[in-house]
Amino acid sequence: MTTIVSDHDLGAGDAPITGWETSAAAVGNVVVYTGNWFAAYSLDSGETFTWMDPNSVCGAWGESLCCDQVVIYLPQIETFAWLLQTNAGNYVLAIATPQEIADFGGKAWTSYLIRSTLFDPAAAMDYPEIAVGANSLYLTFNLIGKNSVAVRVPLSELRDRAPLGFSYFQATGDYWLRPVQHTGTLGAFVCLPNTSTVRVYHWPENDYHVWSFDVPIATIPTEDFTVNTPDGADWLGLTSKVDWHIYGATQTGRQIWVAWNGARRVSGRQDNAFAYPQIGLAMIDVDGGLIGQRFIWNASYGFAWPALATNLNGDVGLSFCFAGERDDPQYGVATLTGPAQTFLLVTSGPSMGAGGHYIGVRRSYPNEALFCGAGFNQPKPVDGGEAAGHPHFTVFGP
Amino acid sequence: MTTEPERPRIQAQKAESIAPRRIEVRTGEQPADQPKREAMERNAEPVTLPAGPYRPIEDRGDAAEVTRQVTEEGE
Repeated sequence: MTTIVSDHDLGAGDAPITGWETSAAAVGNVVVYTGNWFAAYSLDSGETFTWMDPNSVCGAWGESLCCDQVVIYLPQIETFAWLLQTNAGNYVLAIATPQEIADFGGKAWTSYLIRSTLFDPAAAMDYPEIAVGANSLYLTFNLIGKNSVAVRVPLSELRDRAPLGFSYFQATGDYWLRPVQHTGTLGAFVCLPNTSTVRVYHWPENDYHVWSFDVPIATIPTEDFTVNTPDGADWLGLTSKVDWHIYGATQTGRQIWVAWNGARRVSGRQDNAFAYPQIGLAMIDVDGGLIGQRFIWNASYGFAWPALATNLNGDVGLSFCFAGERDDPQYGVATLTGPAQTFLLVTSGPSMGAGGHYIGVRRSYPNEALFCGAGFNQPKPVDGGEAAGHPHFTVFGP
Repeated sequence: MTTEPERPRIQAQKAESIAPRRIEVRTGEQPADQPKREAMERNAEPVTLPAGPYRPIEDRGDAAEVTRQVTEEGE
């Protein structure tokens, strides 16, 4: 049974922190949390958060913050890695140990500017995600209008705060590439080259050769993402940027789990495959081949925005959002393995939104049986003011 | 379902090395004037969330069970 150990609303209290596109990582009492235009740290397991200015991180390189931030904890070198996208289409990678965050109040970070021109003379970078293997940090992103790129950074160079001599490959013809979390010495990256195929790229940590294989899956319904909320709004309308590419990917044992947003109807078909949009999952053997597929769906409401991670025991954790005609948009968590896979709501009450491009989940440290989730809802303002996204930091586990 | 034949290998490349820089991050309370304007200029379609008048919803309690369907075909 899934249990929520703790949940904290960053948007509540006297010094609220608001936003969406949430990502969080935690070790002990130290938490780093990022959103679209904010970042924050906590020294008391999320009880209180202090805002950090992501624009000052970018400003140190003469750049300004755009959006699309993500964070992860690198246990091998006991360091947080915080990635920020700049308006110039570059990335700033900032790192700090939990001790540095505590000692310097979140002010002291070491950073690197990763310019898009390293990969293409003209294309900007977008939609990043990071993952950690046995000895490497992985970064994926799109070169807008071209293809995806996977980058490998040695953890030893990050640990030493040394110049980064990283390597990369371009997934020519592929877009929305995502790194697989918890891969060990064999880095893995996944994408959907079409609606009936998962493509897996494998990149051994000690090698410069990358190979890939394709796995056929049941065709993903890509038509009709409409979910009307009790307010009559379209939860997954155009501005939500909902799409059927892979959002979550993680490895458990010899299985790679990938998750995407699915709509109601397969393109070209007349009948709906599902009553509402749903989350599709494929479980793939590391050596190739489809193990199985699952769909998180309901006849009365829709699901979207999956994020995946694996805990020390091999359990797969999920962050998700849902909404329907009788249900305001909310954020929830679940474990997808084990005998009792309860789905729990984190947020509740009158809400105008949840999701928003992506949400997050990571393995928690040092209790690696737990996960830390990062999602949000958008409570209806009671004073007629502007509605704001309330980010939640949620520790949960099986 | 079977796995299709392995695709051609790709040769990864080494990028020129990039130097670190120690920085000082501003901290405190989140200001009201977030850098939204620049970000919206960068994003042609900013993530804005649905809005509308509130109508009460059913009390779902703490947990919402979902129905799961496990299938090989999915359609």
